Amino acid sequence: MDNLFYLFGAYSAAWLGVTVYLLLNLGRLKKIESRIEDVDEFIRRLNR
Amino acid sequence: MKFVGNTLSIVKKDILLEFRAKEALSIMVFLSLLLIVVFNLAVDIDKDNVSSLAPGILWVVFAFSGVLGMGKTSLSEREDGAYLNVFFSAVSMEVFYIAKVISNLIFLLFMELFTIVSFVVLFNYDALIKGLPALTLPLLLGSIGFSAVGTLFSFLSTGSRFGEIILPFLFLPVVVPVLIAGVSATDLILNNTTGGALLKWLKMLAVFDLLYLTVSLMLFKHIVEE
Amino acid sequence: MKSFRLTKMLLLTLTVLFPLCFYLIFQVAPTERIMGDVQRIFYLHIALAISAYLGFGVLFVSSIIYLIKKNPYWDCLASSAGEVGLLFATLVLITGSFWARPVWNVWWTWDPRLVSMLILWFIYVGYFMVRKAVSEKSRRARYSAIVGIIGFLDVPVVRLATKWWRSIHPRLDRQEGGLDPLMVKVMLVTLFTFIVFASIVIFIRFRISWAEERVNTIFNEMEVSHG
Repeated sequence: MDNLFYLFGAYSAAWLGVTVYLLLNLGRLKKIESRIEDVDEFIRRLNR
Repeated sequence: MKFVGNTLSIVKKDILLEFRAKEALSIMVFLSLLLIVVFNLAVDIDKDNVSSLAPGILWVVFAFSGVLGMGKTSLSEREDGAYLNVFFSAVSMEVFYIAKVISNLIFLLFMELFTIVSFVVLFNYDALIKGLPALTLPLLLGSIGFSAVGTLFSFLSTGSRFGEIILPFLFLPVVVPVLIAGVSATDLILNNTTGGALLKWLKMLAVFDLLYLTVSLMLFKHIVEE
Repeated sequence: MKSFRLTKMLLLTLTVLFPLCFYLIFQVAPTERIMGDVQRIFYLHIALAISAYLGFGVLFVSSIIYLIKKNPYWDCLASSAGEVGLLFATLVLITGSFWARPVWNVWWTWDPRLVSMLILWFIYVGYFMVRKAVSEKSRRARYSAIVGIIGFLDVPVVRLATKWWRSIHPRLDRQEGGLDPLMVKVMLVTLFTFIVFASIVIFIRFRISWAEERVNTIFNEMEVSHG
């Protein structure tokens, strides 16, 4: 029974790590999207 | 022949400058002395445990003093802008790298000899002097490995914003095989073992040297190219 | 469009392949006789280790290509693969610790495999230190590529050195019998899933940093030309 703690611990640590990393990249993606919108806005203003 | 001549003239210049200024050498020698003293205070070395502790302590001292000294030599090279002169002169980057490896190797060997002598004096460990002829080969091979990796990484780290601070972080993990092989070979020699086991470690050191000299020789030009 | 397909693939892996793996690992795979249920960490642990090596391998190859072609594209790929590799290597060390505790009664042991993974981990932490320490783009790319190449070449040498080193100082004998054929099958499925997953994550990371790179270039150009 004690062993199950370690089994659970290993799997949750791995998933926690992967999830945090994916969320981190989601944040990076959001930032890039807003940057791209800024560039778009800038170009539209130039064309006007 | 021109390759050899150019290399030797850079090595000669480095050594002349170093013996005039004594910057890198004094750093290495003082650090090695300091480390030995600190080790003694930390682990209490006596007659009974000195033979089992000596190989590890010596190689850790070599690695740390060496990495600091090599950082210093490449820093002064960068400060003088001398390596830029090489870049515009007829000497190729390969020659420059080999010359730097040789002069760093000479400084390393000098520091190692000093460390061994002070170790013998401070701990009355005469077996180390007796083993010195046999130790020459592992010391030489290990130092070539240190110098090959250290020269490449020291120019790399002095070109970064953090300066030589990142050098140990790059250098130490990569030279782990040299440390393991050097410590094991020294241990075998001090305990009067020769033959197959010793040869195995010397082979590993030689392979490491060959691998890293070749690869660093190919990579070095990418450090300086602007 | 392409990134949309990538997201779809990621979702597919997360919703189909991973549950399948879990089912296989926890229901189908037989319980190991000596270690018991803890042995099920093995599937995760090995798959993570192979994925970490995959990341470092991609880093190594793209570093070489970068030094030849000098195209920032390869630098982006190298750093993305390195980041994912470092993440997996960290998880390998953590899951390994969770395994070592109940099985060998220690959190850590100086076994060659563990030591070489740890040294590798240090080398790639150094890789990202270099990337942090150099601000100029092409120089950062060149310097980190050099560290990436030197570091990866060290892997077999470190492995051999630690193996020989252990043979003089034996501390922990481990008995490893052959694996049950069913275990091997489960292992292969898990391995496949993780390699697919790691490749997708590397690619997603690459697309993000490549987009960053290009947007920043456009931004800088606009600033120069229009103030």
